[in-house]
Amino acid sequence: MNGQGSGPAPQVIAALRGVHKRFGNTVALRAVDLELRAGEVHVLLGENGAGKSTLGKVLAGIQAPDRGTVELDQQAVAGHSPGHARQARIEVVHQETTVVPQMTVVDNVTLGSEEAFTRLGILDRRGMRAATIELLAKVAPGIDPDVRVEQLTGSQRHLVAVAKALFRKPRVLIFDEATAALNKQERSLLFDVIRRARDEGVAVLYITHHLDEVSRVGDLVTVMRDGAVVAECSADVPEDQLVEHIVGRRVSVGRQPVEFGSVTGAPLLELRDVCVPGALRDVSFEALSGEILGVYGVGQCGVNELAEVLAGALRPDSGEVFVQGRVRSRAGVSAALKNGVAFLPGERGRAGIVPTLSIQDNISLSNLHRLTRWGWLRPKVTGGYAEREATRMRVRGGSLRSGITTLSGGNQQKALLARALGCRTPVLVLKDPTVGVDVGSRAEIYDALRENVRQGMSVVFLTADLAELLVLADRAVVLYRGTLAATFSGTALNEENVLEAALSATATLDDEATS
Amino acid sequence: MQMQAHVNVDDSATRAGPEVMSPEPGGGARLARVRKLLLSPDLALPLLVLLLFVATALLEPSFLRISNLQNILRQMSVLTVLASAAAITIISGGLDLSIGAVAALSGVVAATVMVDHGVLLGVLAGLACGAVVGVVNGGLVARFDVSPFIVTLGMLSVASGTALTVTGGLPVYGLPTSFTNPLGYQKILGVPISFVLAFITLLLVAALLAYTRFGKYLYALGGNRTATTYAGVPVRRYITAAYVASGTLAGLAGLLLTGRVAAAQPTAGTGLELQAIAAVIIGGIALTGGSGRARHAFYGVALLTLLSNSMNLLSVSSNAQLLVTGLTVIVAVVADRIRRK
Repeated sequence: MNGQGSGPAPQVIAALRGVHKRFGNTVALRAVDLELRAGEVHVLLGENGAGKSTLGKVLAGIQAPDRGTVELDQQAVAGHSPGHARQARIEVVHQETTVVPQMTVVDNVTLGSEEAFTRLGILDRRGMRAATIELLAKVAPGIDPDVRVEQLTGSQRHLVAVAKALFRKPRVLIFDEATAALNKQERSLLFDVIRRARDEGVAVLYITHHLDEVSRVGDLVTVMRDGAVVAECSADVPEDQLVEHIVGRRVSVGRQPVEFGSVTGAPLLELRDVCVPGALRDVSFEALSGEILGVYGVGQCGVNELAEVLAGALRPDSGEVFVQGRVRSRAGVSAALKNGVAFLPGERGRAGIVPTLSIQDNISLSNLHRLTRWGWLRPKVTGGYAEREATRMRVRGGSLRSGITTLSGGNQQKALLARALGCRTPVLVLKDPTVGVDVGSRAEIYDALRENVRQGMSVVFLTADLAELLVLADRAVVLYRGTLAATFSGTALNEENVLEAALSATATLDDEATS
Repeated sequence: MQMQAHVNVDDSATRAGPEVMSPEPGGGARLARVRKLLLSPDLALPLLVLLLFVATALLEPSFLRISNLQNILRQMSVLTVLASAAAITIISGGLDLSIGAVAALSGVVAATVMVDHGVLLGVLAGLACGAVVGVVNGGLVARFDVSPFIVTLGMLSVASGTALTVTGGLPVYGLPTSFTNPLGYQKILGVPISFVLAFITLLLVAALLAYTRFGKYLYALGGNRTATTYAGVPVRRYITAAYVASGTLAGLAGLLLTGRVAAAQPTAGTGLELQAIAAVIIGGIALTGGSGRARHAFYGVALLTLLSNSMNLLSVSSNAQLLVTGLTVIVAVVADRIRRK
C-alpha cells in the first residue's frame, strides 16, 4: 500500500496524540491523532476550515496545541517550537510562498543552510551553488539559479520554495495546499518530486482539498471535518466515498426552498466570458431580479478576484459585465456604484469600516453625495438618514455619533450593510457577509437580504462558508480553479453536489435540477 | 503626590461600583479618561500657550509691548496658512513636503507678474502656480499610488530649482506699494492685515474640514482608504483635490511672505514645510491621518511662534532654539501616542 512492500514496518517519525487547539470561540482541532511514517505520503483532506492547516502548523511547531502531545521519533516533545522542528528536520512548504524576492534562486534555496557550507567562517559559495543546481535539475528544471526570485513567475517561486525545503534534507516534509499556484505540468513535476522524496524515506504530509490529487500522490488519506479526524483510509478509495467523509452526516441546515418559478425576474447583472490572468477563465453567469445567487469555491478558485471584478475594483482582462443590460465600461468602485452595483467587501476591518469615523458617518459614507447640498453637510439630514437605515438594519449599540469600533462585529457588519443597502441599487454584491458575525446578527442580515430580494433586488454573495451558501442561496455557482464548474438550484443545491463540484469539478455545467 | 490621587480615585470607583467582578477595567478607564483629558489638545495646548505667554511676560516685560505682540502675529501669519495646508493633506492620510518651496515659487511668480501687469493678475498668478503644482502632486499620488512622501519631496526640489532658475537666484524687487504696504505693516484695529487674512483662511479651512462633504471624505480617506474606495467614494478625485487645496494655500502663503518683506526671494520657503508639519503634529493632528481639526494646527503654530519669540527676547542662541523646537516636536508626538492608546 505504501510502495515499500516487504521489510520491517515503516518507522513513525512524527505523530500527534490527542491534540486540541482552539482560537477564541472556534475549535480548530479536537482530539486529533496522526502518524507520519518514513517512506509514506499521507494526504490530509478536508474543506475550508476543517483544521488541516492548523494541524500542519502544530506539527511544524508554529502553533502550540492546547492539549495533547507532539511526538518526534516516538518521544513526546515538551514545548514544541519551530526550533525543535528544524532540529528534527521537519520542513513546510506553505500555501503562500515564502521566498525573499530580492535574492537569487541559489541564495533562497540555501537560506538557513549556510552553516553546512561554512569553513572557518567563510561561505563556500561555489559549493552551495553546485548543490543548488543539482537539486534544481530535479525539482524545477529551466530555472536559472542566478536570477533574482522577483523575476520568476508565481509558480516558479513556489518551486524554489519546494527546492529550499528539500535542500535541508528533511525527514518530514509538509505541503500545505502546495499546488494552488501551479499549472498541470508543474503539478505532475511536483508529484514526481514528492514520490522521489518518499522513496528516499521521507515522511510526507500532503494537505489539500483537491480530491483528484489523493490517488495521484498519496499512500494514505486522512479526512478531517470541523477539526476532527473522521476517516483514515487507503488513498485508492473511490472519490465519492471521500466526498461522503468530507460532508459527513451533517444534517442539512434549514434552508427555505423557493418555490421554483418564483425566480423569473429579469437578469440585472450578467457576466460574459470574464477572464482575469491567473485567476478567472471565461466565467459567465447572470443574477436575476428577485433571487439570491451564491458563489462558492474552495482555496484559490478565483472567488476573491471575482468579487473584485463585480465590485468594479478589478478590470477583467477580457469579457464583459452588464448591469441592467448595459455594458459596464468604466472601471472603479464609484463608477460601478453609479452603474447600479453596491458592494459590501469581506475583511470588515481592512476594507469595510473606517475606524476613525462615527457609526453615523460610516453608514452615510456611500450616500453622502445625496445628503449634502452644494457640498455642505446637513447634519440633521445625514443624522436622520443614518438613524433610519440603522433602525431598518437593527444596528444595536450606543449613540450613532460614537465610533464604529464601539460596536460588536455583528453590529458593525449590519452598519456596513445599511451603508450598502442605503444606496438602493438594483444589485448588491457581498463578500463573506457573515464572517465573525454572531448568530443573531447573522439571521438579521439574512432576513434583510431576503426582504430586499422580494422587492426585486438581485443579491450576489461570495462565500467560503458552505453552510451559509446552503442556507441563503436560491441558486449557486461553484468555481473550481478559476472556471465555473457548476450551477445548482432547487434540490440539486446540496452539500454533496456543491462539494463535489468545488473539490473535483467532475460535475458538468448543465447540472441544473428541475423540480 | 499626583499618583496618589489617582490611586484614591481608583479605589473609590471600585467600592462604589456595583460590579465587584472587574475592578481593573473600571479604574483603568477612569485613569485613562483623566490622562486623556490632560493630554487633550483642546485643553493642554491652549493652557501651554497661556503658560508660556505668562512666563515670558514675567521674565521679560518688553514681551508685552504692543509692537512685539503685533510682530508675533505677523510672524504667525505665513505659518498659519502653511499649517492649514499641511493639516489638509495629513488628515487625508497623505503628506505634502513641497509647501515651503511652492510658497517661494508662487511668491516669485506672483512678484514677476505683478511688476508688469498689476497686483490682481500677480495675485492670481501666484495662487494658480500653487494650484498647478497641487494638481501634479495629487495626480501622481492618486493615479499611480506612489508614496506622497517621495512625490512631494521630489516636488520640493523641482519648485525650488524652478524658483532659483527663473530668478537667477536673485530676489524680485520693485513690487507695487498697494501690495506691500497692507501686507507689510498696515493693521486693522491694531491687528496686522497679514494675520487677519491668515486667520480668515484658517477659519475657511476649518469650515471645509468640518462642514463639507469634501472634508468628510478626507477624514474617511485618512481613516481607511481601502474601505473608502469600496464604499464608492471617487477616491482619486478627492486625493487630487486635497493636494490642489494644499498647493493653493501654499501659493497664498507665498503671497503673504512676499508682501511682508516687499521682495520675492527664491529661497524664502526653505524649511517652512517642516515648521508647518511640526506645528500640525504639536497641535495633535495624527500623522497617520483621519483625525484632528484646523484649530489644532493653529495651537501648534501659536506655540512654536511664541516659543521662538520668547527665546529671542531671552537671548537664547538660534542654535539652541533649533534644539528646543526639535524636542517640542518629539514630546508632542509621544504625548499624542499616549493619548491615543
